[in-house]
Order: sequence, then C-alpha cells, then structure tokens
Amino acid sequence: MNEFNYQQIDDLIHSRIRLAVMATLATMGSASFSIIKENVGATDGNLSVHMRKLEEAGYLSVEKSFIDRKPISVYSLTGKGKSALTLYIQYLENMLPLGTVKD
Amino acid sequence: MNEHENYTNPTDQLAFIKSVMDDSQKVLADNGTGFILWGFLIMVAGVASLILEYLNLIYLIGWSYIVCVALGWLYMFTVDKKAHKHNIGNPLTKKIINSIWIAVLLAMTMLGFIGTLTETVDVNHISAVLFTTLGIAYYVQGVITGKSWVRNLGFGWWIGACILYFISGIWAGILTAVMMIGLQIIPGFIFRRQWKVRLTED
Repeated sequence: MNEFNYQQIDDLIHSRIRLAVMATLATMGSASFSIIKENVGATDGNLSVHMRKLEEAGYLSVEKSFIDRKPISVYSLTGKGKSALTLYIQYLENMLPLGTVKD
Repeated sequence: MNEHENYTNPTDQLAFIKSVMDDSQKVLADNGTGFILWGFLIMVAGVASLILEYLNLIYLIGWSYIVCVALGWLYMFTVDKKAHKHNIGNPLTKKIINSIWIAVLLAMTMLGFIGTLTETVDVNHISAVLFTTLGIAYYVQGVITGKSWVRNLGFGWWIGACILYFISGIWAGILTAVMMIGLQIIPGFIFRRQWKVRLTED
C-alpha cells in the first residue's frame, strides 16, 4: 500500500480533529459547537483552535444567534470547504491499490 | 484526540471519515415543542370532554377534539416549520423522522375522526387504536437516532394501548392522561432540555 505524500495533501484537513469536524459538517449540513464537540470528542479549547483555523481558511462559515439569551454558533461547510474535503477524499482513494475502492 | 496523531494509511483515514459520518447521521436535536404542544392539546381536549359530559353537552365533545387537533396541525404548518431550522441533524435523518411524524399524525387524525364518524373504529377504544399508531413514530425515531429511551417510549405506548383495548370509561381516561403526560409531555421537555444543552455554549 502507498504511503501519503505529505507534499500533495491538504495539511489543514489532514489533522484528525479538523478532518472529523469537516466530515461531521459534510454529513449534517450544519451543527452547533456542542454537537461537533460531542461527535469529534475534543475539549472546548482544543476544538475552538481547530475551528478557528478552518474558519480562517474559508472552509467553515458560522452563524451566531441567541436562544433564551444564550449564545449559539451554528457552523456549516462553505463551498470551498466542501471542495477541499472532496479533493482530499479523492486523493485518499487514488492512494489505494486498484480494486480496493468499492462503489 | 491529538492534532499530530494523523493516520498515515489512506485506508485507515477513509475508515475514520466513514465512522465520523456514520456517527453524524444519528445526531438529531429536536426542540421538543411539537411533543409538548400535541400532548397539552390532547390533554385539554380530554379534560374538556369530561366537563362537557358532566354538563350533558355530549354533542360538543367531538368539537373539542376538532378544535384541539386543528390547532395542532396549524402549529405544524406554521411555527413548527420555522422552528425546524433550529433542529440540528443530518438532513436525510431529519426528513425521514419528520415524514414519519407527519404520516403518523395524519393516520391518527383519520382514525380519530373518520374512523369514529363512520363507526368503523369503536369510539370507546379509540385511544388504544391511536396509541398503537403513535408508538410507531417513537419506535422508529428511537431506532434511527440510536436513542434506546425514545425507542422504549414506543413500547410504552404499545403496552398502554394493549391495556386500553380491554378497558373503557374513567379508568381508560386516567390511563390515557398518565400516558400523555409520561410518554409525550415529559419526553417533550427532555428533548427541549437536551436541545438547549446541545445548541448553546456555556
């Protein structure tokens, strides 16, 4: 099996936490910080740092509002984020030996 | 999870993405308002029917249910539709669960009104028939979202319905009220609390 070529891979997504965030949002469409945290299994501080990196890269968009005076942040993938994740998955699939990717 | 703990194997990395996506599909944070409101409306209709029976205004009992059920449907097509944007979850999961609830509520409305009006459903055991149907929605929602307590609520409705097939009168009324509070209104408040916790940040 081939190993990753780190020169070609999107390093921003390659981190496990950021990849988990991207995969969660790709499936759910949008999710609150608490739900992402629950799904990814990261601490508040750690997740915040990763979310900010993805946001700064333009992969995530955030909509802030209030429920009963409590702040809520609902995150979703941007078009750029969706394309980046698709490319990343395609890259992984291309790395697999022929015949291992099932439809 | 450690940032630097990256997979170096594409198969593992793809498996990791798949497992995260599988977990995400089960997530659903419902605000619970629909559960509370429907439970409250049916309770109001039940109490109103008891009062109307006491006042010898039996011909108005049907109307108390018509008004309450109409208010419930009005809520579904107005406030609930807007509130759905705050219900977080996989779009397909949300669509499936929403469709199940609409189908079950529609079936219950038909059984409750057309069934009893045409006397094809025994009015004395209507709660049993309706709760048999209601159990389906809870069971399916529990299975799809991976919440065993919600799935067990479905069993609760079915067990209660089995008893209601054999009893009628005041005891049936009491059991119906207990089920409506314990299996509909209280779970609604639990959904609401969980939804708030999962949406808001400390």
